[in-house]
Amino acid sequence: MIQIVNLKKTFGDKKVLRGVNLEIMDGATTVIIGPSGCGKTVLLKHIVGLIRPDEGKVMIDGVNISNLYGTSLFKVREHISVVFQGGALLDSLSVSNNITLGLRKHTKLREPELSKIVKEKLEMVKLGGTEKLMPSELSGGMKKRVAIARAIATNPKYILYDEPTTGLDPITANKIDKLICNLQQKLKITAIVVTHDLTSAYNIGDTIAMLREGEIIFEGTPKEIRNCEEQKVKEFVRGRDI
Amino acid sequence: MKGLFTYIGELAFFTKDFLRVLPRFYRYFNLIIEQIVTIGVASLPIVLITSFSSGSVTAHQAMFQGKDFIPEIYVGMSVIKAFMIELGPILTALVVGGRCGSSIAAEIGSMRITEQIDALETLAIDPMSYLIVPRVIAATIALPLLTVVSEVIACVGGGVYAVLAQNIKLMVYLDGLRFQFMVHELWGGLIKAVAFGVIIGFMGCYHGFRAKGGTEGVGKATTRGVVDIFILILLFDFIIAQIVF
Ligand SMILES: Nc1ncnc2c1ncn2[C@@H]1O[C@H](COP(=O)(O)OP(=O)(O)O)[C@@H](O)[C@H]1O
Ligand SMILES: [Mg+2]
Repeated sequence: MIQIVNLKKTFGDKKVLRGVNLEIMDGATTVIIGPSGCGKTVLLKHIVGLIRPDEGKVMIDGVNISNLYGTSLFKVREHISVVFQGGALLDSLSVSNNITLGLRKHTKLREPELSKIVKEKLEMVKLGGTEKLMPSELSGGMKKRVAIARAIATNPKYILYDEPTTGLDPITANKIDKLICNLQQKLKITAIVVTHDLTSAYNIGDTIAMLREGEIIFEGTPKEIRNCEEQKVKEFVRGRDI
Repeated sequence: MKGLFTYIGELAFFTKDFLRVLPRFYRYFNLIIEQIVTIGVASLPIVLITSFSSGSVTAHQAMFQGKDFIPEIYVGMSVIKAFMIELGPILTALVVGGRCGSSIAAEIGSMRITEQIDALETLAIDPMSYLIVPRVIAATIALPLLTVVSEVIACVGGGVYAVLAQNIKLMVYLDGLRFQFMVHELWGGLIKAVAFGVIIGFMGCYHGFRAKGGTEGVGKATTRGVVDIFILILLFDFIIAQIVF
């Protein structure tokens, strides 16, 4: 289980997170929704220890990741995968080398086994046969799918998605949503998705949490958020929905 | 002033991190080789052109300044000494610094803003040992090699000019190259080249690594990287000259 406790972060004089509290249940998909620039990516990066909080903590299975450094941090990260906004594939590596990057570092698997994993994961994201391509030859949607393949290659317990549908056309976005749901059902990975895309949130979220002005102002099921009477929540939901 | 201290502080942190993983450089040995080739291929044409032409200009000046009262044997000597001690290392470093220092900063910078560096960290791969160490080591090895190439080509350039344009006998020019040859001048120049290599790799990486704020940030990182590289090269040229010569 991931617990975010009273998380605060300020950049310069900009208070981005003002005390975020959130519990993420194992085996479910939690969507954190909020307007652009509200600190979703900052929050996500705290969960993997890429950014350290000014105050508060993030507990991963009872371990405070905000206090870890070096190998003990890497140990915890082995169970968490992140799908970054643009995919963040390494430009200099082919699709298959991107997918095996983590495995090569942490396992003793040999080439035949590695290429079997690559093939299997690429088929899961419906990109079979693209092993040899370079990231520059892929479209935005394909990059995100390769990034998802890379994320699941290490059999993580948790997978974090940063705006998986942003910048994609509605049809491709919908496909990515379906993919996230499918993976969640097949692999039972706990997923955290941050996004400003409400449609996507409704599609994939078991729980939706809304981040505004540095705090979680709502937490509930997709149905509950639609019926919520809270002013700030309504504003955001209506602003997009009607 | 506050900016300067922050800058030095951040640089110190980066250096500390760098030194921490440096002893395990052999882990990504293939990346070092790859980077040496990249730097070499990118720099060689421009190093060749610059050295050939400055070699012939040096020969021309040596003749022109000393016409009628300095013996012709001094032409070859002027070219080789000027290049071993000063021109070879500094010209190569400025040219490679501009060419490769900027591309290192731009490459690492765009990896930073597209979150590729974050991705490496989450895959539990240390970006410092995977990206930075190979580039710094590669630049440190490539610079002396390119400097030697530059010095040889400058001597060829000087010779071609002296022989073809000024009718100096080839043997006289070649004797000039050997005349008063002092091996410590060669080593002194190469020590400079090593230091310049460190500067180019390290400062290019450093500025790329701390790039932020979109594409614009990459541009800024690149510019600042090149400026720092040039300033430090000139500074260390002076310092090492004081120590070695
Ligand atoms: N490293 C940083 N330094 C300074 N400001 C930052 C940094 N990272 C994020 N911010 C600021 O924090 C705010 C939230 O950013 P972010 O989490 O990327 O928003 P989003 O919700 O769109 O993902 C933005 O105003 C951004 O400018
Ligand atoms: Mg974001």
